[in-house]
Amino acid sequence: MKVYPIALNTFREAIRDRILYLLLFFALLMIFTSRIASLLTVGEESKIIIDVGLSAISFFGVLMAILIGITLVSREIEKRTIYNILSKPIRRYQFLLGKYAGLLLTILIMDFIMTLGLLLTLYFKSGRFELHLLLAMGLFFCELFIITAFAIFFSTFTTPILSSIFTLAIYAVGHLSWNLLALKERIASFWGKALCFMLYYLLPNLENFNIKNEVVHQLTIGWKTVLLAIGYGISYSVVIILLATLIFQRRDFV
Amino acid sequence: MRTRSLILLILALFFCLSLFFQLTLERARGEALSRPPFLYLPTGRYIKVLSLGYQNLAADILYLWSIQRYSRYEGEHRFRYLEHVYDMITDLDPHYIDPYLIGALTMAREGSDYERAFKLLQKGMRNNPDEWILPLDAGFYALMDLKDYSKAIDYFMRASKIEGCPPEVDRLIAGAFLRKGDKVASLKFWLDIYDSASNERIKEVSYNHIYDLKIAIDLEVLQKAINHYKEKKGKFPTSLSALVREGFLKGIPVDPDGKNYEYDRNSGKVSAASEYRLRH
Repeated sequence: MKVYPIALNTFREAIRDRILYLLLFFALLMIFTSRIASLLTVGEESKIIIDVGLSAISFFGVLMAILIGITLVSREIEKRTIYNILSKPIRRYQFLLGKYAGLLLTILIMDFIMTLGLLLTLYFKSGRFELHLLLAMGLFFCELFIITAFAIFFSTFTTPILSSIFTLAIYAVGHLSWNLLALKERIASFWGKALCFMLYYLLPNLENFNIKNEVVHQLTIGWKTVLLAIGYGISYSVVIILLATLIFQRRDFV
Repeated sequence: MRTRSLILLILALFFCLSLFFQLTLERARGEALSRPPFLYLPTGRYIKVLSLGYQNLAADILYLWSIQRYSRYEGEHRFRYLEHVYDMITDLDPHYIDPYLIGALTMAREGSDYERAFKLLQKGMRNNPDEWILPLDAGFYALMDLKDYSKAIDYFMRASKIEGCPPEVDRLIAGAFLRKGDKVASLKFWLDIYDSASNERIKEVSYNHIYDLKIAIDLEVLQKAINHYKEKKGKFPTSLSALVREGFLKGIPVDPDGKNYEYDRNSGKVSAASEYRLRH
């Protein structure tokens, strides 16, 4: 399996990146200080900790995926190490898959540390482990499948700065795409409606993975919804990775 | 060494300067606070869109900010945008119960705007039909502040039907019925409370209410029959048994201790031989 050594190497490379620890530090700082913010409320203090904690994990998780993801391929090209790698019997899709898997592993570990920080903060507040939050974290990780895939996709054909801007835009659009359906209802023209409809299904719908509200208020979440969201996350990221491979195949490194 | 001291001196100087600017800014902002600051605050719907999936956090931040704002007794227009602020918070997170309760409390007790307080609590009830605390809270405002007993009964009844509602709400319903003047409905609730009492203290309290209500209801029934008799016959009956004999009553009730009610044929007034345990 040629993907495994690339993934392992990507992981080793990513965990040496200082920016990762800087983001982790700020995420943990936000999670721990949410305990202080919770003292300002009247009513349920745990809710404030959970909201701030989940938001910090989600926000810094996305930043990690973008800031590390965008440099993974471009750095190899910039340092010309890609010539070495591709001269070996490794296919380009295997290279991209390895990069993708390595980055996901890095983010999974970072998310685990941040989640542990949140669970401990809550444990010191309420004396119990709020394990139901793990479901929200699991689905958030599926969201990162897509964000990471986009970060790698953009980094195959553009500069790191543009990649980060494009991926951030995808993140924003992904959380706003549901508005396209509302817009479709208000547009009179057929073509306008068709464009909204097409864009809605073409762009990623990252709200599918947002169950923070349900988890915070301990509302019932159907397993069907969770499984469908996981399925959507995996299939959409496969599409993006395949697109990235198509573009990457066409690049000339010889 | 000298260069280092010079740098430290400049550093301290600039720090003092920044402090001066900060304090001046705070004074300027203090004056600005007297102006209404919510004029351009968007609605929850827009903030929901702008929050990019972080609407719970946005609701928390606004809620914390509202608590800090309304805990201070300053500002001329403090309550002008109260409804807007809590509408925004509850639009962002409709299942967050605390803002409904605190918003209604501020509107009712601080702003004396009960209509808006009920509106907010009703919104909470629509969004959270399984939360008994919201109708219970609305019932309290209706009972204690507005003395609108019918409204209080409606809300308490609604709360009592929700799973997890404390059984004490039945005592509030019984009390509200009594204050409304419906002694029979009140007695029915106290009888239910007595039958389902979980301890001796509740049994004793409910029995005292039943005892007094039974006497009060009996006296009302007897007095009504006596007055009816007077209207028909032009004189008071000679005794209470005359009311039964002549078809004005089906039977003569006795008080909970089994004693007969006392009747004064000259004044036509009926009274209880036993003392009230509480005062109805």
